[in-house]
Parts: sequence; structure tokens; C-alpha cells
Amino acid sequence: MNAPTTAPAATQTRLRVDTINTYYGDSHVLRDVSLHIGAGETVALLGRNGVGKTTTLKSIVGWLKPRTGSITLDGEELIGRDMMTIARKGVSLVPEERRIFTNLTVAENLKLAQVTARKPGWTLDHVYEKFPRLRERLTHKGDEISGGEKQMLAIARALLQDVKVLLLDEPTEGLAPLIVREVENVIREIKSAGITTLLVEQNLYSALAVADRCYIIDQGEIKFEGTPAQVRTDEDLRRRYLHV
Amino acid sequence: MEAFFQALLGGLVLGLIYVAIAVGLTIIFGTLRLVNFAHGAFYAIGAYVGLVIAQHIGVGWAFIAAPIAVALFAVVLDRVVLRSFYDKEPTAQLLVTFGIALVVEETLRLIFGATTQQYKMPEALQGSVTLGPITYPAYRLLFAAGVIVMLALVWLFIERTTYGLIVRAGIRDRIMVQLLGGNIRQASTIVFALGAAIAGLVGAAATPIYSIDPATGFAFLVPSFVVVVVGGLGSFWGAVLGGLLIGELQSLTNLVYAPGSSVIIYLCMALVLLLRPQGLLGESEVIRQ
Repeated sequence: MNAPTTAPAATQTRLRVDTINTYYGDSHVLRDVSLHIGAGETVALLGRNGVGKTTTLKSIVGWLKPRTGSITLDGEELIGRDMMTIARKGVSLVPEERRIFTNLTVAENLKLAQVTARKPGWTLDHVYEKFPRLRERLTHKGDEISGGEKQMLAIARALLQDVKVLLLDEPTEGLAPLIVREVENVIREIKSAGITTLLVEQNLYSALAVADRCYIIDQGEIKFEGTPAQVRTDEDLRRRYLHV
Repeated sequence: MEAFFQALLGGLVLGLIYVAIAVGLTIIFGTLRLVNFAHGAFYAIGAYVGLVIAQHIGVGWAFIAAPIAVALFAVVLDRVVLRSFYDKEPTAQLLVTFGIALVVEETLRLIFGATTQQYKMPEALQGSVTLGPITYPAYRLLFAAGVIVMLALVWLFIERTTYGLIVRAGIRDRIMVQLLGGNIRQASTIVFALGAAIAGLVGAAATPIYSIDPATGFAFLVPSFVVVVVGGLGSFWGAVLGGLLIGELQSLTNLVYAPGSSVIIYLCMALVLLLRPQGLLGESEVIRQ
């Protein structure tokens, strides 16, 4: 799959999350969470630590099963499907901890993503073009590369598959400022390639710089939906829900 | 000196049996996180299937039928019983697999009786080979060579095939494999069948060396668990190193002080657990998971 140079207009809803309620045991974590992402859009889900951002992503990919509500991809229901099936339908999660296979080399991590893909996504050449550092680290084991390289590898793994929706969970967390800028550039590249993306970030300014729209979640409920400009200008909103 | 070399070769043969069982145990544990106490039963079933086929059809067919029969049994067992225990506590896994092992043992006792049995090799393989100062049974050497070839094939499967790649990734992180669209269930079934087939084949092939009875499965299972712990959970090369080490320790101790041969392996395990809890070639990350 070659990346288009411009993002397509967000004309149709690609992913729709409709009033989902997700629990950890008896703990009610997500309360009637709804959001939608149009094809080609980059949407940021913002919020403080522990308010339900990662739980929302886990609910979308089938890692957690919402008790009620609906999640659809191009109109097709995802709730009740397992993680493998949802991934094969084109929903790719780059988890917060990156979850690189540390017993495999960088090349094997990439190969695994290729062989498990239902349809191919980016070619390896395209990946190496966008992430040249990975080419230099092909023979290194997953635990022998830096945090930034792990993040690049985690994103590259997702892009080697036929991604319809990319879910990025805290992609800049724990990275040095210089590496954060590199990751931000990668997210811009993904956006310009027209890949529909849901970005979960605590790094507010990093997220606002690339998002078309954003949601703010607090205590498991969506409190705000709007544009990055609205978040930037509404100090009260930021102080109340984001503590900045 | 001749006795020493005899014991050394005996330790190699015994160690290779442990390696073959432990490799199955360790890849099943690594991929499925299943503590499989029924794995010795796979060895015993393979041994009895091999015995019957060898006596009625031919030894060559025994080596084909035993792994196939045991793999099929394992797949059915996996689908019907074990699958619902993958995510359960190790205690529940231990109890259910221990129960399966007991059921298999008693069933074998009902069918074949409690006496020890053995089948004879064809005459062509009954001779001995002179290796320097010692003379050693040809079949034992052939058996050792066969197990080494089989282990090499298993290693190639794990290291060089697509399924092997999924298996190795699954050993580290089953969830991420699924998040990438990997069919971990299918890979797990293949791994389970493969581990069982290896045990079944070795059971059939070792019967001319070590006679069998219904409790044979447990007799080989316990040292093989020691091998997995000593070598490192989930580690292929750990199982190889641990198996050879335990086999040689047992055999050489038997030469010096026979009653100590069954104690020495537990002392070895205790020492490894004290000094390197993850095993000689194991990784602490696997233990944490």
C-alpha cells in the first residue's frame, strides 16, 4: 500500500463508539462513552491519568468487552469479536507499553506483523524510508533498542498491516524531548498518509498540534468534543479536566 | 574407565529422553502458560501404541503411528478439556492435568495390565558398536542420533517457520500477537500437538531400552519437570542443557552411589533455584509473566 500524499476528506464515519459501558470486575470505568472518527481524520482523546483513555482503546480492540453499547467499524459491529478478528478487520493498537517482542529481533518483529496481517499494508521499503533507524537495528533484539526506537518499531508493526484505524496510546510517553519531536513527525506522516487515527495523549500540545478534532474524557465520561483551537483557548476547560 | 564411559553414554541417552519430553513441556508452558502434568501420559501412550504396533505390524510403523496417535489424542484433549483452563490459576491446571494423567495411567493398567513390557528390536539393530575402549548397543546410539535429529527439526520449526515465529512471539506476549492479528489459538494447538507427538515418538522409540508399565509416564515426567526448571521455563536450549545435565548427573551418580541417583537431580534443582531462579538459560521476564 503506497501512502497518498494528502489526507482524504472526512466524509464518512469509519469508527463509531456508541454509549459503551466497560467494567474492571465491579468497577464501572467507562460510562456511556461515545465518539466517532471519520475516514482520514486524526482525533485526539485527552484526559488525565486513569480517567479511561486506555480503557476506551482496549474496548475498541476487544481486549476488554463493554457490557453495553456498540462499536462499529464502517458500520460493522466489533463488540463480541476477539482481538485477532478485530485486528484483521484493520483496527491496529500501538499500546502504551509498546509491547515489543524482546526475544525477537527488530526484523522478526516486523516480519511477524507482515505474516499475521490479513492484507499487506506498507511495504518494508516504505517503513525503512519513514523509519531509517529501524533498518540500522534489524539484527538487534527488542530489548537492545532505545525507547524511541521501540516506539518507531511499534508504529511500524501496525503500519505493515492494512490499517483502517490506528489507535496510538501515549506514543510520546517516557521519551526524551528530541525523540518526542521525531515521534510527532511520524504522527504527522501518518496523518498525511490519510490513515484514520485515534490518538490518546497526556502531552496536550503534542496532541493538539496534529489532531483535527478532540474529545476530553474525565472519570469515564466524555466531557467535551470540539476542535484543538477550542481547547487551546478555553483555559477553564483545560484547568478543569486536564490540569494545565 | 570403561564403566565411566558406559555411564556417560547411558547418561546421554537418558538425558536425550528428558530433553525430548522437556522441550514439549517447555514450549507448551511458554506458549500456553499451561503447567501440563499430563505430558508424561503422552510418553506412556506413545510407548504402548508403539508396543502394540511393533508387535503386530512392525517397528517402523510404530515410529509413525505413535506420534500421530498421541498428537490426535492431545488435540482432542486440548479442545475438549484443557482449553478452558488456559487462563486459570496454575493450581487448577495442575489438578486437571494431574487428573488426566491418573485417568490415562489407570486406563493403560486396565488394558495392558500392571506388568512391565518391552518389544525387541529387529535383529539388524540388536548388535553392538565398539567405540574405543567400550562396546555399546547400536540401537541406543541410533536412538540418541534420532532424538538429536528430531530436536534439530523442532528447532528449525521454531526458528525458521512462520508458525515458529508466532510461537516465539506468543511465548513473550500472547496479547500482542492477537493485537497484530496472529492466530495464537491455532499456533497453540500446533504447539500442543507437536509437544505431544515428540513425547509419543520418544516413548515408542525408547521402549526397547527402558521397559514400560502404566506408571512410566510419571517416571519420566517428574525428572523432565526438573529439567524444565533447571534449564529455564520456556527456553528450548534450556531444556536441552538441563536434560543433558540431569541425565548425566543421574547416570554418573548411579555409577558412584546408586541410591543417590534419584536424589541428586532434586539437589541440583534446589541449587539452581537458589542461585538462578529463572533457570540456567531462562529469562526472568518469563517467570514474572
